[in-house]
Amino acid sequence: MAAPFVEQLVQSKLVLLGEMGSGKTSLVQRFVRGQYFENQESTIGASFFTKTLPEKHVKFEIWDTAGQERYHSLAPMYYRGAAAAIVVFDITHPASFERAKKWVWELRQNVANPGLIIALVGNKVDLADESRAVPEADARAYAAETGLLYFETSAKTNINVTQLFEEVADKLPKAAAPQQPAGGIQLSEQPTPAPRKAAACCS
Amino acid sequence: MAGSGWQQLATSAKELAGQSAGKARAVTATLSKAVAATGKEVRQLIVPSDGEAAPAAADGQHVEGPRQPLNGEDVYGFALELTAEQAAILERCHSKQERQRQRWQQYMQGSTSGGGSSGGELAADHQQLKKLCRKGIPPKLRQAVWLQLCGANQKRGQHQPAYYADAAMQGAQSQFAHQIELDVPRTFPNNSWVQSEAGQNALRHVLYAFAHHNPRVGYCQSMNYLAAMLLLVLGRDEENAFWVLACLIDDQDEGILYRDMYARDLSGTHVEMRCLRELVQHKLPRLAAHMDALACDMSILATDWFLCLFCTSLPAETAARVWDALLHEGTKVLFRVALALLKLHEPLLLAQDNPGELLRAARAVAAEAYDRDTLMKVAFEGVGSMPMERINSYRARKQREVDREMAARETRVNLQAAVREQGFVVQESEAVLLQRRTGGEPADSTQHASPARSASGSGVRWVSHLQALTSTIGGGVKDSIDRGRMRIAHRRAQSLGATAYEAPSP
Repeated sequence: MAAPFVEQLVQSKLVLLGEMGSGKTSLVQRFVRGQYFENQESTIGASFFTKTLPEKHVKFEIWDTAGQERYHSLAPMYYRGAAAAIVVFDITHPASFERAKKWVWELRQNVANPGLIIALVGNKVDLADESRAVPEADARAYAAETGLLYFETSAKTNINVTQLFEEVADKLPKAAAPQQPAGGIQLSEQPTPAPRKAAACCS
Repeated sequence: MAGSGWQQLATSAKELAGQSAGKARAVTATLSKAVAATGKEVRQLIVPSDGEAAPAAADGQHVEGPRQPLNGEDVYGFALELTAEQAAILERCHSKQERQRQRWQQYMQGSTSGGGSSGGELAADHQQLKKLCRKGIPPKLRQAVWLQLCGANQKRGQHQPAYYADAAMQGAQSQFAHQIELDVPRTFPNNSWVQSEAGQNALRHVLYAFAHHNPRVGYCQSMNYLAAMLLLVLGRDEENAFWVLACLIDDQDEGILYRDMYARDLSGTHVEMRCLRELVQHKLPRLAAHMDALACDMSILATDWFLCLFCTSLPAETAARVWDALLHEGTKVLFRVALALLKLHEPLLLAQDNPGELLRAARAVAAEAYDRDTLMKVAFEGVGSMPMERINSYRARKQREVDREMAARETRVNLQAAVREQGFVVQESEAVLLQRRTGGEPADSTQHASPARSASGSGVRWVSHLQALTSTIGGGVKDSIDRGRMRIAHRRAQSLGATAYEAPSP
């Protein structure tokens, strides 16, 4: 009965990356379960969530990763084959913005999918008035020149979280083949070249 | 020194013997009846009824009767939400624990009788001690036994008395203090003591002290859980928690865990994950094949098991059982428990059709592993032999593999950073880029498309690619690349072979 509908669902692998304590897990919890915990446990390794957006015909398979720099060597396993990446920073913590830029750069270098959607997210916007340390204009300018979606969110007060994931869903190529979830780990982060025509895009 | 430790244990054992076993049995019976009566959810059961279900609480002493579900918390203060079935399992494990307690008492008395226990006497007891640890240390004895088993008492004795307090103070200034501060409030949010002000401070101090004590490791996410678990088991004593943590992780003097598990790039964890993968291949070939088919790396399932030593995955009292054996026998225990979990739930895991669902299923069954007796029995009797020599030979091989890949990765990251600093973005595969910039012959595509394929050669190839690039583009980029090369040459000359990196020709 639901079969015709289910067939239209596009499964999309989505990965969250970003500095520790920037709020990756809280964003996912808010989006997937509508919950927020003040003391969200730190993620060790990674966690997996799914969420279907029926009206967008998308089923997100979400990998939420550990944020500390030394877990970096695990990240390729989670972003390989991703259709979308959400790179999170904490607007009250400038170092997390710098780290976000590195993540964007790494994704561009190492993810083969030329249609990879990257959203840059400045989280904890509920603290903007008292302790913002990354100007919104700076982050927007960087996102614009790098070709990223940009959102300012608060997982805590539920600002822009649904919009973020919906916008990502809208940008996904509709006819995309189901993405293979995580592949094996290779620490050298060797880029797997995308199959594409020569001189197809700018550099 | 060792002798006095065991004498303390014997004293604790005698204290224990004085407590009323009869009362304990009465409470067990009451609880069992309640379980049978409610049949469904038993959250209410956990709340003490005002009658006989709360004996001996008035004197404020920690009593080891079968009272663990009291107040909805286990013996370490973790909130419990149990089904009737799970409550019954806990009860069964608890009665077994009571019987073990008597065996421990006998052991303690035996090891101190005959005047002044010597090291030789303990060695003679080794098999018995191993057996006792595998069957579980009673919670009240755990503190003293752990400190003795892992060498924490000894290690502490080798340092100045003020060593811990000093390290905790210095650590507050360390580069890791910010990360520690981020993680302290979000460590075990379901444990009321850890969340209390006293708990938060104790946790912070232990982590500060460790970051100062072992700056090469500093702070690694997961150590927050280890430190909290230690505080809970070791009577909330910061200094004891610190020394056991040091015994686990310090690798320069033979730490219990494999080296570099928590160091900057977690390379030791990568090695252990690959060893576990080999063991699964041998012990559970169907699961190994299934994981291969799903392209599910072992580290997806087991990274947190090994980094947190199961204390975030298993119920706390089950995790404590793992640590009982781990502190005596070493890391082999982690492999055994991982294999036991996978084996016990193999059918469920085989039914999952992608890595994400596999991870979710594995996490779910681990979180409900209240039957600590069965888990440990399977770990020690159900997964076959596992000689340490075999694990060590896996480790040697996997360590070389990981070293090669890490070196290649570092080379690559450094070169990318050097190029990026100059604002020159390598957005496409190098082969195409080279071809376009030089306008020359397309390079050998297989070689250029995968510069890191051969790890030891990758750095050389990267350098040659970039050298070719610099001959056609500006000198600024070339300078940057030269700087990158020098940095890499400096850092990795030894692991990659110094000849691979000659100084850049001017």
